Amino acid sequence: MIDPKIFDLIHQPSRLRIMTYLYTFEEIGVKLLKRKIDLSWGNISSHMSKLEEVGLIEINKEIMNKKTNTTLKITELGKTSYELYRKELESILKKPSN
Amino acid sequence: MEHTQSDPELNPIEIKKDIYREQLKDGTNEIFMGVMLFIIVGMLSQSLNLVIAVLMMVFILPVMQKKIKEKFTYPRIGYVKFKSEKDDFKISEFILFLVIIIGITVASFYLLVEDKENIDNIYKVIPIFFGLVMYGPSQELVKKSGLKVYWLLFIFSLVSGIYWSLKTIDNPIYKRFDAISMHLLLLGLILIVLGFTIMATFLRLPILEDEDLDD
Repeated sequence: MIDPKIFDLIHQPSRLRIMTYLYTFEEIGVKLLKRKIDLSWGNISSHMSKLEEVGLIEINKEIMNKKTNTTLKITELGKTSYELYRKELESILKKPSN
Repeated sequence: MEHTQSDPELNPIEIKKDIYREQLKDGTNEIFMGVMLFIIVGMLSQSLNLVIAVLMMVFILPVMQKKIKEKFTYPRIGYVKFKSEKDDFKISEFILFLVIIIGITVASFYLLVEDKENIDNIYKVIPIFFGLVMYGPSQELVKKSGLKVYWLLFIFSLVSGIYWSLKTIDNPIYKRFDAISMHLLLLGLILIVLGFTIMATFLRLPILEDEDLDD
């Protein structure tokens, strides 16, 4: 059973897309993520902070050629939470409506 | 875990294929595959030391490709590291694949070569073996990218393998490794030219804007 707070956090469409990308790859650069998800720097930054705060993702920054390169990685907690989120969502969708 | 969503943006399998296709657009895969074939020719002709050839293929080329990607690819499309796919590799399938292509090569030998008594003549059908081997890389590229165009690599390799084998049979002008070297050089050259053409188009893409994240 997933923590309802984490469920709500992942359930937000942009964060769900970010989590799906991070779940798919070992590591991903924030520039690629921004290009694929099409969010502003402000929005992506805010979503990243929220996901990092609860320990779902790791943010790594390094300077290369005087430029910052930020990469994101999903944590073990993030992986488990994402899988539980999807299972729960699928079970909700499978429930027959009255 | 099953992924049943129709939205490709929420389907890890589709996302992976999409990003893999993007990563192929820099042409480095084709270039390095071509260079590897040249190295194999160097090994066969004994103009390249075996240890140096293996070192080049296992260590030097992957590092070079990584450096090129860092310099040209990631600034244009962004950085991604794929998960290790060791779990997907099935040794039983690999052995079965080898058994099948060796079987086809041996069958070709008995069907095409007149002097079957001399097993040494098997070298005459080795281009067919190398032609068939390309099924592996082609299938891997199609599976990962979803682009069926990579089957052309296998088809061309097979046609070239058959051509060079037929040319060698009953033609004493060709020495042991001539035909296989010609096959690999031709394939390698095509891959390198193709790779540089793809890269030239790729380099026209603009560099991504700098990060502007809140600290």
